[in-house]
Amino acid sequence: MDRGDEKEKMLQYLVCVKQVPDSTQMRIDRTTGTLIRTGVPAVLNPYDVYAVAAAVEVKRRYGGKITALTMGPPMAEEALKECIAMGCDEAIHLTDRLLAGADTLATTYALWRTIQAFFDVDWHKRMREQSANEQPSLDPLGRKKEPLHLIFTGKQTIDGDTAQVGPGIATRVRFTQLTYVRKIEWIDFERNKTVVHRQVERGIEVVEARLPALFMVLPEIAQEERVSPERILRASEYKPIVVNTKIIDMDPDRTGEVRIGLKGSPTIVQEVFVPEEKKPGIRLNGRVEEMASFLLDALQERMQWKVTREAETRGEIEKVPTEA
Amino acid sequence: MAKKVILLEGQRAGDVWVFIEQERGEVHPVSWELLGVGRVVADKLQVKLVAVVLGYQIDHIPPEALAYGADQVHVVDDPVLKDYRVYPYRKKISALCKKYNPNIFFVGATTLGRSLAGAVATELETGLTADSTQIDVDVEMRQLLASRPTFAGNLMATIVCPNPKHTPQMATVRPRVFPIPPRRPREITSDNVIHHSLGISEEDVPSRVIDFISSGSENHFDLSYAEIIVSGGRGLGNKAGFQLLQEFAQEIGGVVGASRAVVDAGWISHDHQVGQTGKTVRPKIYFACGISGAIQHLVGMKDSDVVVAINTDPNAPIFQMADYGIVGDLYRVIPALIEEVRRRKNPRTFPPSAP
Repeated sequence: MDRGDEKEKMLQYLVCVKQVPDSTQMRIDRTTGTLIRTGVPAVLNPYDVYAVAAAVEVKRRYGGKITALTMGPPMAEEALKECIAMGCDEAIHLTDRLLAGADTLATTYALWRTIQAFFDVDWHKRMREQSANEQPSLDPLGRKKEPLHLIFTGKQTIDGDTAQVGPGIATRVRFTQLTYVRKIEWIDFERNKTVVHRQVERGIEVVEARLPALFMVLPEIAQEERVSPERILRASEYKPIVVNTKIIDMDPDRTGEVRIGLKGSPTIVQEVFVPEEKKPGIRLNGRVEEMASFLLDALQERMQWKVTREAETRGEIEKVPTEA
Repeated sequence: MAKKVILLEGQRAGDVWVFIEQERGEVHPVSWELLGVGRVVADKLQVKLVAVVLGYQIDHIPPEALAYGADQVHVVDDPVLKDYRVYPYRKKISALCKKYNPNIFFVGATTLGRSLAGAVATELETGLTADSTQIDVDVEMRQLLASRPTFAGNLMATIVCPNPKHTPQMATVRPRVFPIPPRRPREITSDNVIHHSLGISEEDVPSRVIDFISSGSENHFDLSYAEIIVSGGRGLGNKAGFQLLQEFAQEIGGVVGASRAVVDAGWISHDHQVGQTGKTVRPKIYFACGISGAIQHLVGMKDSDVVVAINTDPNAPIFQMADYGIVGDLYRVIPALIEEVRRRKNPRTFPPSAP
């Protein structure tokens, strides 16, 4: 028997995505203070495109299978098809009216339960504790659950902008949380290690981390994945695996406590209001020299400390000439 | 003396906490801003304002936190905390919250703060409002009112966490929204600085920082805290256009910013990006050069004292935000500005032009 075959494992990657309204096309009715949603298209969250691209790149380098996961209304199926077109192998659609109105805590809870239903996320704990009691459990389709190695998410969504769901999922599944990843240097699936570059406020951190891990990626990580005609064809015919709260057990401890949707969300929107609008400014016209001169006169006071200090240190002038 | 509010257990009687973000001993200024706004909230609720700081060899930080208004500082000083890693931070902060039951917990909406707060809130199963720009409190309900821009800044939403079983009420707060309070040094006592052990060993931590590539700038908070910013957008036409902006910025003591479009195009690095997915800035003067003014950009710079817009398109939305608008070619306007600044700075070599 070939030892290599025995050791070989199908690497499993999951990408979490969301369908969002294209907020750049959203306008506001200032008289009523409401959003004009009419005609605003729904798109795959632009940041998630890079999460998919990063997963496809990792698959290209190391092999494996990519599953896309989303939670959202029936029409979010389109976002999953886009993921298939970009190179994901499978897609799971968690959709149920009971999930509507979820905040980030309730969202990560529902996603976590779904991830647990489809994947073995505790393999690393068993490995560390050297416990052999692997329970062969099945996913909702009756397939043996495979160990999940990596989760990819985008940096944030463009509708919520919270950037909280990635860290929330990582915390729940107990994967190593790696946020703002801009480069994956290497992954060693034998030793369960990876080295990535993280963008932080003051530069780039090179981090060595244990697998399994969640990568919340930046657009810098990969080029947008090109869609080929074959992939588009496959995507158009593809039907995602659809699950709801009857299939995914959202209350495993039988506490009766609602942890999904609006009811399971600790935060609620109390009020929505239109931010104040700024009063109109001055439009400048004329020759560029005149405009430059006028502008500097107007801004002189705010700039003076800089200009004066520099001139003074050179000892050339005592004071910046102000308006005569 | 103000009437003391008497509260029963579980009625949100806890203190107001502020996370002091530090890396390599350097405190992110947003921490002091949070102590400023936290002071107001704590006073309204008649509770203590408490700072929490984790790190290694950080003895210099607690006195600063007291000086900026904290009544008390929780300190965890341990070699494991030398580099920021979410795991030990999440574990220890969650444990401290469970022990002391703060009512409200503010964290800076920085890259570090946002990923940490998301993890802590999940561990504590509590409500977290992201990236708040307005903070108030309902004194009667002892409820935090955190408002944030939503739908790309088109609307503001006030988020609350009404059920007291979810505690603390957490919010990340955007840097540069609240001013840094005055610094008043105070004496350290055994009462106001409390040390805690970490209780997490290096082997428990699933990641380690093996290298750091500095972005190279001396002042790490260059853009967010700049007094003058010269920003460029797609109207620059190409990458090289930033050289001109750099020259102008240098001349007036400013720094260079950018719109998302040009960062995505690779003309300039992400740390220059201003806007919803970049930095929030609040300079004295903001020059928007060749920036059309997508709402995502405007939310990041709208609190600038003065906005100057230079754009060839008279209908560009940026002009609605501008105090001074110049419809024209930035490649003519900026050189004229540079020359005029030089003339004013150095009247000997540049005699004032005859009237």
